[in-house]
Amino acid sequence: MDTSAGIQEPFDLIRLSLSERVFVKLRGDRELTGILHAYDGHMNLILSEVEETIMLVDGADSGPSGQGIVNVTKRKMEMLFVRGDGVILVSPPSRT
Amino acid sequence: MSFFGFEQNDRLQQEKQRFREGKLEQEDLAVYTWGEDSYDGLGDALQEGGDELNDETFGGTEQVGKDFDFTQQTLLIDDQLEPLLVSSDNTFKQPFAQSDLSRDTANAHGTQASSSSRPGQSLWDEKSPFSVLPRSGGTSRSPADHVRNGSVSSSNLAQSHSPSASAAPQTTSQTGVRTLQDIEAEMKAVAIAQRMQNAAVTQRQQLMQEQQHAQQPHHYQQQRSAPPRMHPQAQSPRFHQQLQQQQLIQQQQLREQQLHEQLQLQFRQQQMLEQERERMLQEAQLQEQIRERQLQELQLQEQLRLDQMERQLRSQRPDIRQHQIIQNHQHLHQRPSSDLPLPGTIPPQQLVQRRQQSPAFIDPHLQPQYQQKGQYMPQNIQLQQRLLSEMAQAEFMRDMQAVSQAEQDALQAEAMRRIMETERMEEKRRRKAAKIAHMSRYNDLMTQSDKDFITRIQVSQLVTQDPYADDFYAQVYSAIVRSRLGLQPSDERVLKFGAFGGVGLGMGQKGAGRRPSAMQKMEQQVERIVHNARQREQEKPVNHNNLQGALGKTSGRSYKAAPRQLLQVDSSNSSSHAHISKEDAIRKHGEGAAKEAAKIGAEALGVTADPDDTARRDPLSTKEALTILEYLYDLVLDIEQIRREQSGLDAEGTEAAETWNKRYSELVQQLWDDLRVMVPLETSNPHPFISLIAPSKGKKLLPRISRHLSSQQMLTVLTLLVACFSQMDIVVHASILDVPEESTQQQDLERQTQAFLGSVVQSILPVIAKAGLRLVSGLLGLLLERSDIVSVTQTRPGLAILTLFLSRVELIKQSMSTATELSELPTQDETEQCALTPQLALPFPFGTHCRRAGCRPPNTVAPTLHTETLDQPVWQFLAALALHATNEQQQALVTALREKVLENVASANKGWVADEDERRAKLGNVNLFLHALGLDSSQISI
Amino acid sequence: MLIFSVFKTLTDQRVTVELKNDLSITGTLKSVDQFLNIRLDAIEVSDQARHPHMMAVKNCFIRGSVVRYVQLPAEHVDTQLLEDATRREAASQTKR
Repeated sequence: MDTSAGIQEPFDLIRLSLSERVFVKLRGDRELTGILHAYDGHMNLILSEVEETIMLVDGADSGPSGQGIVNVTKRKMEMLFVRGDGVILVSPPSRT
Repeated sequence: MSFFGFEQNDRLQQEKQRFREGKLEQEDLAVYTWGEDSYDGLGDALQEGGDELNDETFGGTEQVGKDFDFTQQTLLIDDQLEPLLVSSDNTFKQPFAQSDLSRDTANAHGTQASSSSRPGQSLWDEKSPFSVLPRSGGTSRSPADHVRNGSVSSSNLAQSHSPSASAAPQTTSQTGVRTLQDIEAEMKAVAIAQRMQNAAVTQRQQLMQEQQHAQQPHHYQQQRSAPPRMHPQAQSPRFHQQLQQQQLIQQQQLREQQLHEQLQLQFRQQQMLEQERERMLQEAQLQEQIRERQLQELQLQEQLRLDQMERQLRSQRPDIRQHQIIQNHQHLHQRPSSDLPLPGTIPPQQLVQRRQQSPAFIDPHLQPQYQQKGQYMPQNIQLQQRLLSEMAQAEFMRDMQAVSQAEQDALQAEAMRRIMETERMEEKRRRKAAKIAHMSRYNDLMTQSDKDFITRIQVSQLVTQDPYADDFYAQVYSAIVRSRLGLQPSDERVLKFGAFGGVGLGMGQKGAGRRPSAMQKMEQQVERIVHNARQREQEKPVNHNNLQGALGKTSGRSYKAAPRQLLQVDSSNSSSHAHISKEDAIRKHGEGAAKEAAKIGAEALGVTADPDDTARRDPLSTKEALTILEYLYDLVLDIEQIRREQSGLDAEGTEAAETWNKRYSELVQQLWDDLRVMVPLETSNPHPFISLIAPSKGKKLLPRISRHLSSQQMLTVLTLLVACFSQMDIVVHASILDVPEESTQQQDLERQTQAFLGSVVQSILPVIAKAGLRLVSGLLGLLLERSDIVSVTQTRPGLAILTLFLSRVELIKQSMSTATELSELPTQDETEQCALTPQLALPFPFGTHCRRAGCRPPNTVAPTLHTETLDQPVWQFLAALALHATNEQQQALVTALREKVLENVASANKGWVADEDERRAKLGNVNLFLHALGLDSSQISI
Repeated sequence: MLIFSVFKTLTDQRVTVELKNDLSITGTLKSVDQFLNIRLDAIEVSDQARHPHMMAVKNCFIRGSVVRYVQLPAEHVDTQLLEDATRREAASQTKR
């Protein structure tokens, strides 16, 4: 059996991360990490052990560096359904 | 100009002349010159005349419609405010936001009034239309003007009676301002007179004829005395408004005149005080050159007349007093001005009344007075009846009081309470009913069949070919839940729709309330809908093709779902993917080395494979491992699927069973191959299999695979696992778990460790449980040989697997002693092995265990129940070790652990613990170890 | 259909629906449809002060498209089964 047959479309890459911790970037300056348990063709996701990071940029244009102060809010959720229309990307977490 | 009934230009000319002659010094009035420049004198050149027709144009003496109420009222206020303002030296607050200009004008007017012999005259010289505004209708016209103009004649009575005349500022000192009461009285008189007029139409007509000669000049005079000249601003709407107001005033004056006529008529009719009135009239005429007196007289006259009128009315209706008592409040407003208040102290009631008063306003109180003459008796009877009933009530109350005051009070309170209660209930009920009514607005908007239709449409969208597959999660989950609850899995969770598939009902609550027949009916209908939809779909391509391009071709490629492919890579060439080519190489090699690996597995005694025979490879990358794992999962799912299908296959022919068996074994073989268990140990570090079980889903896969693998295969898995034990992530990075600070890395490792203990250890447990002493010793030896035993025993997975082995040995030992006579008696060889086992424990560094077990840095992690639970496997392992230890070893163990044991016991006994659970956990842990030595924590005394 | 299937098993459970306008509604999941429209009973809004207009609302129907997250009760989600279901669906999608 050729395992390469497994990867034919982008969704197959997401499938590799099933049951693994994933990093999800969402609209509205939100990011999630969590263990992926389900996804579908709309990129609807079900994650567990989720940590959400919300970034609120204050005064984006002010300051000499062109960067505003970023307020980061974090919260944790046990089990979360994420609606696919807000998902920008799904990736394995960066290995540190 | 005169067309509008205003002043004729002869007077204007006069004024102008006066102005030019330098009589300016007479006017200490501030002159506002704005607007003067723009006056072109065109108005002077206008031809005047034909004023006789004014009445015709403006309806003459006809009553003004109600539509003019507003302006009339405004006018009245303006009329009276101005003199009031002047008289009281601006102490009166103006209810209208008059501009400073007009205020100034008023002040100036006041000053002029004292100095000028012709007060108000200068006002007409002002060019500003604003100067006209506050005294529109000739408010400040003085009798002197009339005299000079020669237009004052027999209409003096009317003229003097008009508010404008009586409101002249000069009169303030002597007679007081013509107050609101005066005006009010006039208004009332108007109303009365009008009614009187109705009562005696014929007489009025007669009078009209009589006074026609007097009326006519009066009109003329009024028109002549009307102030404004033609300014450029005259065209402004505001100016027109003013004109309208002036017209209205004229009409009012006319009506007032009429009123007097009517009054006269009345007096004459009744033949009361006729002579006195006539005398007064004459007097008024005589006094027309002495304005002050005239006004005074006129006011007196007016008052007298009104008094007379009332007296008269009373005499006509002796019951009027009674009537007034009944309608006391109403009459307060109507009381004639006989009791005139002092100027400036206007009773609020009268103010109100005044506001209500307009010429068109028909006094509602007066009217009944006349009309009620006939109605009075019934009203009186009503009153009497009411009084009677009140009396009766009072009597009843007296009776009640006679019974008992307290009782009655109680009764009353009770009654009140009940009434309140009932009212509350009623209110509640009413509100509820209103809410229901509100909500039920849409009741029966949809019939049941409508609702069913929508349900069917919705259900038809859910119909699929394979309801079990598409609703897999819900189906299986509910099956699991049901089996957990001990329910029979008999009830159908899928709505079947003939040959077209069905709808998964999930947990099955949906159809609970429905009758079976209704469900059947719905099924049929949904089937039809789905069927029709399918047919339409089949027909669609034909139509679609016909219409394609009918509206022109779309440029671009937006209709394609996929983004533009920038790299044209031949996907069929798998070698372009590095990991896959590598994978293939591993696979090829794996097949070649299969026999070798099989031999190793079969030996299962920890004999390592020849290192020279295998080519070293890079370990699998995470992605490769994940790809393989997903493929394995597919296989597992397939196998599980055909295992489920097998259950229905039993009764059928052997041929089908054979095909199934063939397919099953094929799949299992595929699974086995892809597990890469048979890949030589030295192929890579970590071994591919270890890489596969590195992700949690790899670990979770093992228990699911173990069901399909033979025990021999599982043994091989176990051997491989033991051989490569130290290669595992969870062993390599185990020290992270001991770091007190929390991190995601630690969390993930914890998760992996749990997955290992929960999945991998569980799947190998049956293998170990059946393993003989020889196998266990072999595995132990393998572990000792290939791994650093010290580091392994410091990890939870290592402790777990060691404890497993040791406890298995102990079990074998026990079975040896109990089953000596049986055929299962272990061979001599095995006994020797058993004796050897404790030797394994010799090199164990107890100190490290001791540290691991109890000597956590106290300053970092407070001893909690959690740490105690974590320590449990350590104590278990120590116990297992102690069981196998020789005497010297036991002594060494006890010496090493003495401190920790004592500490645990002491803290448990002396209550240095958070709660009972922790105390029990501490003692339990110590006892685990002590029991293995044949001791107990209770024997220890501190 | 997968997510729909999951939500079907969560009926009568307490879930927290977070909308794209940051309104968080906790309620008992009464029903769900293939668009993931959601009907909730006995709702509570997490930030009453910010959304006083929701105080009187006892139940609601939420259009699926306005949902950002749904927090699920973890004890009522079988993650292993969920992953299998996801794999099955992914496999059936690629087959088509």
